[in-house]
Amino acid sequence: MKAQGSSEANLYGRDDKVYGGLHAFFLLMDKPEAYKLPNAKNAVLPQRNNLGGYLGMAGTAVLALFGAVIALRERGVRRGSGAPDRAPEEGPAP
Amino acid sequence: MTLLAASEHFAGAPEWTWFILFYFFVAGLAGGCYFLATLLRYWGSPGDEPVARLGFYVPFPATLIGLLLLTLDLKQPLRFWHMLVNTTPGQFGLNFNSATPMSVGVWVLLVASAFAFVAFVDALARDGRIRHRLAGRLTGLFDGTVGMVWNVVGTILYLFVAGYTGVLIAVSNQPIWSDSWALGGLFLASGLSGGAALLLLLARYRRSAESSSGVLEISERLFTLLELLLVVVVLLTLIDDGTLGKALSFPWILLWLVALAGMLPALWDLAVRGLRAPAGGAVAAGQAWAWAAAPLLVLAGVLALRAWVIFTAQA
Repeated sequence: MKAQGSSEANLYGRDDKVYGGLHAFFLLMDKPEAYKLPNAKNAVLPQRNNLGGYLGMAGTAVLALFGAVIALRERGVRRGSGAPDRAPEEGPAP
Repeated sequence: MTLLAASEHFAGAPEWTWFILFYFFVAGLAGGCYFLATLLRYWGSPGDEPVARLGFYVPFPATLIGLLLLTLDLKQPLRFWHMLVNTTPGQFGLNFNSATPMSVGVWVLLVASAFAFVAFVDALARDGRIRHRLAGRLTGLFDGTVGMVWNVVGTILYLFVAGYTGVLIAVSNQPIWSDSWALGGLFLASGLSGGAALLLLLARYRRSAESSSGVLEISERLFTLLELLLVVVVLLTLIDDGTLGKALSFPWILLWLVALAGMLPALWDLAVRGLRAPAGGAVAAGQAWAWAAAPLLVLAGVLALRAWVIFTAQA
């Protein structure tokens, strides 16, 4: 087709550039955008957020732990043995 | 030439509504409460034990409610166990896909619920609400390192529970959802500030827990600052993908405003008081509502943030 003058002719989906592969291909006579189809740049799978999402969570957890340590800094007593104390008598606050 | 978004969204909306919204909400609170309860019990002062027990009371019922909501959201609720078991003829076995946050989340939720149940029973036994000899043995066992290890592992699992919902939607092919990798962190930070607010509310009804209000308030301020930073990151990623306009369109911006209003008390306190604890003292009966208003506003903000994320993308 290109030899016959259709310079933009392409086989859409023949490789893995679009969503990692379509398992089918289509003859387009223009760029994918002309047919309102995603191109190689924006045909991305949302799974790309998997690693970033988990890392973002992990980073947030670390920062939250750091914040909690700051909040607890004046509580003073570390009970590494894990032995909790009995709670005093409870009841609604006055 | 037709302009396309930075990433194309090709899948139909999953029709997640109220059940999922409230599941995300209780998952966040469960994570925040477990995290604070463990820190206060093992790294706080002895006076923090009453509020730590309050924190251990929350995750198990919250998880039960969450599991119920998730099941009800299914079109065929009685098939909920298909999330865990592969029933394809000839392929019978457990269903687990590490590449799918939904699959990982279901398994973590299942395992975490066991940790929450034991922590819940332990808190009941320590408060003398159950007196069975097995409960007594459990508290004896939990007085040592076993209890600390159990609750640290439970905390890690519940931090995952609080945040994975954000990762789950970030890998779903919907506008806004898949345009930001930071939603997992945002949901986690929001769940932590919500957990602190819930414990502040619950501490109001436990006289012995009031001495921990200061540390809860300071924690909430710092968690809210973290949440604000992640809100900025999410908005920046949406700008990058060209979906900010949709995210802030009417009427969804109203949910944004509620979410921001929920952050304001803590941010105001951080700006004015820094990391100083508020002055102690009993709350007069007439001031009870005013005292509870800030934590309630925080909880409304935590809910509104999730509502904004869920509903805006599917509109």
